[in-house]
Amino acid sequence: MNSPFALLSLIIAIPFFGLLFALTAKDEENDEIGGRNAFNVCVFSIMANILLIWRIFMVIDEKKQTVQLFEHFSWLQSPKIDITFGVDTFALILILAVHIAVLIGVIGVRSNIYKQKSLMIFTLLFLSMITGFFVSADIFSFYIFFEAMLLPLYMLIGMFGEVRKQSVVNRFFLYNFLGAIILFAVTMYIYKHHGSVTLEKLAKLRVPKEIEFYVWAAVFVSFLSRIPIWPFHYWISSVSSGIRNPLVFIISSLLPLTGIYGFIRFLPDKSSLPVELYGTWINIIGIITMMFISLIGLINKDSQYKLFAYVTVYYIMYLIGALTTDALILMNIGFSVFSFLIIFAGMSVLSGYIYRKQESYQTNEHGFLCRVPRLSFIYSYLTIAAIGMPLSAVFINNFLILSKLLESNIRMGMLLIGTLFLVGATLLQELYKLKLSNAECPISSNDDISKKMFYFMLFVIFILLMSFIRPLWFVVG
Amino acid sequence: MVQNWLILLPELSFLIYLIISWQVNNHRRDKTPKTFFTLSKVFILITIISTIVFYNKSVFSKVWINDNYTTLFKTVMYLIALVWFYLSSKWFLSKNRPSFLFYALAMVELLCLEMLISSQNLGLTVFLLFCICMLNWVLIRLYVDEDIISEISRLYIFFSVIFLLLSTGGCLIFFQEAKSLNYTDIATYLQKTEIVSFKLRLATSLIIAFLLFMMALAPFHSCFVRMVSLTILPVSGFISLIPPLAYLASLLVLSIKIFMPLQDMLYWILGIFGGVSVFVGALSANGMSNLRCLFGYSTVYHLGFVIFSVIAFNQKSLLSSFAYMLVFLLAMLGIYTCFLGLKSRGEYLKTLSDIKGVSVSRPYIGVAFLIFIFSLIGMPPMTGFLGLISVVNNTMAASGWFPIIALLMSLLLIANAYLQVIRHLYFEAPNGSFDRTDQSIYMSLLLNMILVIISLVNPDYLLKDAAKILTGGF
Repeated sequence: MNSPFALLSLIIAIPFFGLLFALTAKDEENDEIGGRNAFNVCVFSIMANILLIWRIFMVIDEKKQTVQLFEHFSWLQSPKIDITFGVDTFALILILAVHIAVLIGVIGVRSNIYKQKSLMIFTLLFLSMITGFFVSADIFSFYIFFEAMLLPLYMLIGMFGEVRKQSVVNRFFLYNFLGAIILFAVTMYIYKHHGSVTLEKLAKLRVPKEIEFYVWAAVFVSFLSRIPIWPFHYWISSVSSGIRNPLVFIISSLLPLTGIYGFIRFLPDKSSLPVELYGTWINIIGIITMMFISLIGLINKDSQYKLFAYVTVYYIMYLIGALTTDALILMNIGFSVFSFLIIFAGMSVLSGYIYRKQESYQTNEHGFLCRVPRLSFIYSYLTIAAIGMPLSAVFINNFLILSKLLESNIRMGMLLIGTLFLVGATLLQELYKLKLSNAECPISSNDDISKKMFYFMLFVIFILLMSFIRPLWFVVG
Repeated sequence: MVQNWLILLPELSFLIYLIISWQVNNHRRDKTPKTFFTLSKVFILITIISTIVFYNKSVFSKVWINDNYTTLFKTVMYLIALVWFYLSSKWFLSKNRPSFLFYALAMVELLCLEMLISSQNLGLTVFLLFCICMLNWVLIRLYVDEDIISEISRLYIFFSVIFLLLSTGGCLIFFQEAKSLNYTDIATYLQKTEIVSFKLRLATSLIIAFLLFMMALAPFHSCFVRMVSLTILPVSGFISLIPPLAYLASLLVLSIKIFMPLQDMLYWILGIFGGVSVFVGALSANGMSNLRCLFGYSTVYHLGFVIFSVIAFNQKSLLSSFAYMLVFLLAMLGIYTCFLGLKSRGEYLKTLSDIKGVSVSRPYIGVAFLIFIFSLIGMPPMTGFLGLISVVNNTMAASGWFPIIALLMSLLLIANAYLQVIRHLYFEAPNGSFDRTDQSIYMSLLLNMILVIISLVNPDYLLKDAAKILTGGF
């Protein structure tokens, strides 16, 4: 089916046009109402895109697992490169989740006055690029967006990441750039032998035996460069765990999702020896990484690191699930990731709020949530949903993913459940610390989140609850 | 007779410009840089129109010819020269310096470059290269203290003379063997020769070496980088932006059309020079705190990069090299425009620490810098990606994986150097105040960025006609 009104191009273009509007907005950086116009443009662009995505859900057949709504463009004549956009339900769920997560992040930084305009501009650019990445249906557009999203990410982390050493940010970029360059080499190899193929055909391509180990090694390394898995974890963890701006933290935490999505799109439909071999190694290393990160998260007192540990452990679990290449599991991963992204975005915003308040009072006392009922309710709900209680789609879908993993390898499955338990304990430990009654805590009811924010977060909770009842509840007709 | 004069209009217009501008300089009282720019603009436009109109007409067809290929390279070169002359006038106005000499020398150099692109004779090519050296030698001394420039200017003229002598020797060898210096005769002679003698191989190497010296490929790069950093900004921009395109055009003609039977030898010569340039350029750029040095080394890097497309020695080499060069020049023009827009207390900024926090004080220049730098890295969605993909695709088809891996790894090194610039622009707090930026600088940047965006969305808009011309071959 061809896309009516070029809907897929539109959802890439809208944030980009929003960016151009924001760029010309008459906002002075760092003033009292700094970036208010850019903020409004950003929110409007994201909302418009969410509406369009909703419309796309109506157009496609959500039960089909194949790519739909094709858009073809002849991009370059020499070398001959055609660009194809297309989307399936899985990709569309991810796009929607990313938009909602970024919207939560944007709302969370509405009171920010430090370079707000730049923050909104690069956020919109990132959103445009990551949307393009998910709607890519051929190898070239896939690669283009895979690499292009590094630009806004680098700028956001460099400007707002508050990373002490700027060289760390540069290395983070170079490290991800290296992954992208390796993917570029793979893309050029495929192009040389098969032309500008679609991602659907890619799964059916057979790599010659003499080089298949190298090609798959390159594919694995390029996608693993986006996932904080040992030995690729250092630059991601060194940057992500230090970011205090919730929006930038959310955006930087979306990066591993692109690596997992890359695996899902590139893995062959028929198993091959190198894929099995590398897959086994990733399973082993993944489990070890999960155990270490969840243990460090439990020991570490920094709430940001705890959140980072939670995000990392869940991403690796999704990666291990994705490597099974089971269609049903993939769909469950999609539904689970939808809720997971919303939950962690909400938690990031609230953690950022708590951190700023604690910083303004120069206190790190227990019992922050005792006198702020609105914040307490939302934070508690999100924490409980995050650990997999039946409050969002994470519950049932994780259950299905884990049961499949247990079925394929019971030891691995048990270890995986153990790490999920540990990381859940990490979040509960943080919640306990915040809710522990403490008379010396200087926080008063005036420090609670605003009513507007409360209602917005209630709406987020509503989305999570509905996704628990039926993952695609918003699709009508 | 009249037709011949008309065909020679592109060359004549440069000479007429010289006479008129000399008269204006001597007799007009209120002459400003704008006067000389306007004059040069008129004559460059006449040159562009006449070049396009007489695109396949030649008067001295044995010495130089005009065809689709030469017209394409010349037109792009003139357009870039026009933009740079306009921007240079802003520098002269700001510094209140006379500009007659700069425009006159630059116009003569344009004439030499134009003839170099069309040249069909080895003797003429070598002579023109030496003329360009002489003109550069005069240009780099413009308004620069003798103490600062004397060492580098002496070194430059020394190397120029050495390469002139060596390449003249090469020409003599060819004349002795092929009894002609005409390109077609030499190509025919080489094709007929079953085993090319050592003497001819040496002669070829000597002539190519002069071109490589002019292109500032490593290890001949040090003069170029120092010239770029020490000269005044209009000269620095001129020698970085305009001659490389003509050198590339000449190198492509020589290596693909004339010295085709010596491909095996040229592959190694150009490959080694290209490879060394890529790594020397990228590594050296990393250690630079002077902005112009940094971008000087990055020019060495990019010119080395483009050589990898040349060594495929096929018709696609023409298009891929041209595409890479075009996007590189667009980005570099943007970078030099940004340099012209960055002043503090009347002084143009030179070092990395000078540009700290530009994104806060001059956000539009900051954005432009960002776009052009990422384009130079070859990162999608910037136009630099077009150049990168063209070169990599062509190199992969001809040379296999080893050069590709080397090229892609070198990208990481040069990216690290560029990130230093972005870090200072965006992540550091402002160091001092910046002077007001001329509106025309913003307009130029805007036009350049529009071109970048158009060529990104629809690259064929930029390259379709070039592809038609260049895939047709010579």
